[in-house]
Amino acid sequence: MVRLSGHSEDDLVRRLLAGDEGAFVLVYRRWQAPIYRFALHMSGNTSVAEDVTQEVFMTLIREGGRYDPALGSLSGYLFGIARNHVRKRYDRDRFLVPFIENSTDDGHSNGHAGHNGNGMHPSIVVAPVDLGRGETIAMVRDAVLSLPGHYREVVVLCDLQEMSYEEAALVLECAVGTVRSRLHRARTLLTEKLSELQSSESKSAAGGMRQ
Amino acid sequence: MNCVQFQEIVHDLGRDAGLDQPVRRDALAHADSCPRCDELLAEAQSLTTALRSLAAKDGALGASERVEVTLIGAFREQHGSAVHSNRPWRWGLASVAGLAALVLLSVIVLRHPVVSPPTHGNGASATPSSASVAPESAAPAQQLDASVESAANANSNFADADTEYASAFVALPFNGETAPVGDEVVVRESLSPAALANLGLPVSETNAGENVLADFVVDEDGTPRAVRLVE
Repeated sequence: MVRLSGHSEDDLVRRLLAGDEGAFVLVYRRWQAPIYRFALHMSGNTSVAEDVTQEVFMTLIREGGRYDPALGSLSGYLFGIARNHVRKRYDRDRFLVPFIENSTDDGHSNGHAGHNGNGMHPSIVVAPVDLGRGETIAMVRDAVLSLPGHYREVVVLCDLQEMSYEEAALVLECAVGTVRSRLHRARTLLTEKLSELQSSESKSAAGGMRQ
Repeated sequence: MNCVQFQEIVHDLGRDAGLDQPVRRDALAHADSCPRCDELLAEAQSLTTALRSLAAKDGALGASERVEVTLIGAFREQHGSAVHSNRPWRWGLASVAGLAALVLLSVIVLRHPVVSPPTHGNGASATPSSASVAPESAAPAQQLDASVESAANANSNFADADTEYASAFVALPFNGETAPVGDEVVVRESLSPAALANLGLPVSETNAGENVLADFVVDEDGTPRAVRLVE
């Protein structure tokens, strides 16, 4: 059970629903930043991230009675709302990175998509990333945003938010095995994407040196 | 463990999460013996490091203060309205208090027939009356509520200054905490000594056996706010 400033999460939610502003502020300050970052990494847009954060807590204020501690943690409930709002924004705002469902994902263990016939990983090897460079971080961010939505969300939840498979499965309302297989596939795609980005960057750097 | 099995868990291994210790040990042993899988493991670990760097770089990001202010406002609105809807007795209590004040005024008026104001003494009237204050009124000025005074002055065109003397207005104790609304009228009544006593006004030996004229300043909602005696 998560405790915030000495209060259990359930107790805080009860107080919040009863109109205790202090409880609401505690919950908000604990979870607003993770929710904001989730929305930011999913959308790549700070305005959307801010709107989604506001909508999530607005939903908690208005419909918090729907939260059932028996079904999962408060954070899972909040991230679930955030996910729905991000998806709505995708439907509404075409300029956002599209939330495409990939037809190759069958929702079950299918970590071999993109592998060669014998199930082996294709011969793409990413050189160790130079993390001292700001461009590398930007490259990783772009690579994450280039993923189809259902892969992007597992990467954001499991790798960027450091959720367990079980927590992510609750947010995504799917099986733990599905989270695992999607993450495997997503990371494979990310590796390929980063490799492409790095090689194109190397080529442009080499071209610059020749000039 | 063979290469296919290794590649199914390479990202779990690269993330250092979600693997039992024996499986992890077997996988690492396989990577040690297979350069290709070892390379894949390095790749997965590198990706994990890159993603954690992104998470760390964005770790301080959060919604602006504006969002918190907006949400707290919404919270107050939501629960403020809920509080009102959950406590209808407050409005009921206010209504009962207002009704009680009206009943009290009605009782006072009904118990003491009104007389026409110009003929002071035995007459009675419930119409707005003359309410001039004699210049030699001896009551302390601070007893006069400003709004009451203005109401009295507003009705002074009825005054018959040659024939009437009045005390200063005294605020009535049962007028509650309601602020004057500014549309008061002065109503003249003839009061018995008992009614005088009920209002907390002095009953002297000289007026113990006869009715006394009194001017009431009454709010537009009927609440009596002040009274003065007229001779």
